[in-house]
Amino acid sequence: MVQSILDAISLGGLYSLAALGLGLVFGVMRLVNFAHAELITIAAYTLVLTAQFPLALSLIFTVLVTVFVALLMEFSVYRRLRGVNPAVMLIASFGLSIVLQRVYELMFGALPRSAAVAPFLRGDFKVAGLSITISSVITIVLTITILLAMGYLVEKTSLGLQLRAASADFKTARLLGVRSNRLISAAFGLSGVLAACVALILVIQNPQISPYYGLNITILSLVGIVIGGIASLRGAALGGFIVGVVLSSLNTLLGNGRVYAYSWLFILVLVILLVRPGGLLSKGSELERV
Amino acid sequence: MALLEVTNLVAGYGKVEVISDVSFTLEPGKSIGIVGPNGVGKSTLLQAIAGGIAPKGGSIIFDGKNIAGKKPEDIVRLGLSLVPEGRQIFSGLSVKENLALGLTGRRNKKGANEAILKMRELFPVLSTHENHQAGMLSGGQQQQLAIARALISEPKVLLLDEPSLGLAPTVITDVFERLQEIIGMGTAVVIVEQRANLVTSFAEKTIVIRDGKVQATLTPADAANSESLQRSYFGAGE
Amino acid sequence: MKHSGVTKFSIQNLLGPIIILILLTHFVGGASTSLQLITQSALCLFVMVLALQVFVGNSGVLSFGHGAFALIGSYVSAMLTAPVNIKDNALAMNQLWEPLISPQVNIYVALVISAAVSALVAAITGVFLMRLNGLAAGIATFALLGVAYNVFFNNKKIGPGSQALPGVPLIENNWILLLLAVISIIIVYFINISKIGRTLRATREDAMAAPALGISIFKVRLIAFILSGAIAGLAGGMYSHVAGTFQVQDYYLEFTFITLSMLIVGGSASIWGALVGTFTITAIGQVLLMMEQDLPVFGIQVQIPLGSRAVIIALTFVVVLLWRSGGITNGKEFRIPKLKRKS
Repeated sequence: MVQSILDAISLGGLYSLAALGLGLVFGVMRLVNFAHAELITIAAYTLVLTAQFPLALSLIFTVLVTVFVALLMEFSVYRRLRGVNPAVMLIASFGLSIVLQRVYELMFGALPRSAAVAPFLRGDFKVAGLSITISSVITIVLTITILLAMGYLVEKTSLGLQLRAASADFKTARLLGVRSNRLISAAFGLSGVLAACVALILVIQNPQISPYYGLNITILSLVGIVIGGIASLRGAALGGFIVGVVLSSLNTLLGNGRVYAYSWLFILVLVILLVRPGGLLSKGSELERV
Repeated sequence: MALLEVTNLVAGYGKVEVISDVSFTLEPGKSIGIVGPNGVGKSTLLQAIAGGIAPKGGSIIFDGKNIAGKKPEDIVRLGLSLVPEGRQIFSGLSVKENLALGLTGRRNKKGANEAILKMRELFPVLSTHENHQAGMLSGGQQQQLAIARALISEPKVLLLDEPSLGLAPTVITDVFERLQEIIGMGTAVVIVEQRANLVTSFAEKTIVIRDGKVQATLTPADAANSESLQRSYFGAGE
Repeated sequence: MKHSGVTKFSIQNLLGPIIILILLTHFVGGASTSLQLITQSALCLFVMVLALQVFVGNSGVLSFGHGAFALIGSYVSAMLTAPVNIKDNALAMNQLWEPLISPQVNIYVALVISAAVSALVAAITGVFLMRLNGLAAGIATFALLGVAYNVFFNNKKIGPGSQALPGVPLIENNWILLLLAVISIIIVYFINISKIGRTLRATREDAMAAPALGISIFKVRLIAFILSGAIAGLAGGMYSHVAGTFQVQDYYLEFTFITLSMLIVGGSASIWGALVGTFTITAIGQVLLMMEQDLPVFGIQVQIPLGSRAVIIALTFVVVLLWRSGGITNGKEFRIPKLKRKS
């Protein structure tokens, strides 16, 4: 029971991190970056392939690689698509996602690559007679730390202020001097950092990395940001959290029926969207035309 | 030498040309009004000057440099600031945060605190509400915030797009008094207005735009003469 | 958007794509056995892309849910035509629900039923989905695909689950598939020039203007969704008779992406765009496949690394979007040139 609750919270936290990464980029350029999945995947590959190095070194290297790929995406594809119909951008990101999956397949092979990343974080310990996995606790601690850091960045720094302003009204933000290219690059860079964090947590739990590793969590976080309210980062984080908690709870509650957990989740999503098309945190009028 | 010199400007959206030939000059510390019927392209003109849209032709010389087609974030750093139509304050952010955003466009990163203090003196109401959401302010207060936000970058030229929009008459008077003070401090001002009499009596000269071109130039003396105002506004014979 | 599509009936616009399609089927489909198979599956994909064109192209609302209709159409047609003993034997250990084992109908009846069932599902889901706009609509249609995939993949009472259902009778004649594709073109053409098509395009260009004109966006979108659901169902049904099997995995993310990209690469605003997109991507894929297998292409032998085919296809797609966000045809319909008689 305690373990189930911890699992639900940790999965929720994980999804909210992924959703934040998507939400940051959506905010500044109205792009639903489907290829965020491939940022998580490349981070996971890097973690596994550098597993023989000290953890700190491996982490730094992973963040650098992921941020590099994120900036490369922005520079080579999305920068040229700025201002076009969001539907076209979404489809382009879909295409980019497949390009990268195939590139990974060529580079790393179709079969899963694995290595023990931070093996000391596996296993479980006992508290008051209850057995609890170390990874769920680590996940929760890591997630809270990262969410707090993100919260500070977004709420208290000048970059965060510019991000919030640009998400609300990019045109006016530029009139005030917000540098569009830099800010969008910064958003992509941050989404890369978040993808690396997500990958770290995922890899601790499941170190079998295939070219499609980041796909599932990205699809579900995408669903999350839409139900949370795509207009704000808080909405994105909240939506991601809800999806994670619901999915984890469904897996526990449905027993043998857990293969249908996704169906129930998607039905719940439909219901939420019908009641609040702009998402749970919307103020009603923020309908995006995508 | 003129601070801002717009010559044969052409501007519009997509393939549609809204402004086909507009020229005017503005000296440092002076004011100019731009009037004309609804939908004539006054906002398009300001957007083209401030970099919100790229002009299709003509030149915009500001402070000796041609700024036509530059990005808005670069133009504001050169010292030309726009208060867009409908104010466009960030209603979800606090008043303080809105003002802080104005700092982004400063050329000189020093003196930021002084600039904010100066704005608080000029618009005391912003101090009282600094931690409130900007969306909670009244229309007049929002307009003051939008002007203050644009002034924090210490522009040499301030462009205002319909500052009177949606405001009560007494509030309009108040806003224009502040503008007078701002001009007094050495900032040149370009005001676009729907209400011709308001700006014609205020600005040193006022140009009338119709059919994408400058149709007439008015002085405050013309403001008193409503007939000449109407004639230039709607064209002869109407 | 500048392109509001074709509104007035013109026989040249209608016949243009049909003639090209007939020529393609005749010359390419008749060339060799492998090309015949590719032509057949391209015809099915083309019908699917047409289905997307009707809804996505006209309304501007992105649908990730049409894979669900193709899935259902394919499922219905396969289950109604696969021999009883195969359903009985191959799937008996998977506890297929009794009443589903015995029904048997003619292929063409099955195709009509599959279109009808898909239309029904589109109607029921559309009542909810069509109330949404923008990104919410995109995600909601994706949820539809997710539910359909999840249920069919896991439930062995209603179908083969994650396995393939073999023995689905084949349509071996190219011309029958061609005929079905041509019928689809005609239907789509008339939807596009109808009041519904025009109204939908009006709502795409200005979502605010439509209610002001007294148009219910919901109603026109729902009708288009149902019609395009039916065509997608037909496409799925056709495909099961080309592949000779039904498998849930064939209609998920990859399928959704390929068909949507065919539409967008070709240009989502016209039938001609759907045709160009489908055949361009199929052709590129085929040429690259031959290169991967080190076979000569038009007498030239170029070898590319195994697996790079998919990279190049997806890359082509991204490049087309960068180069021309309206797609190759950019909204134009292909017209057969008028014959000018000098008299």
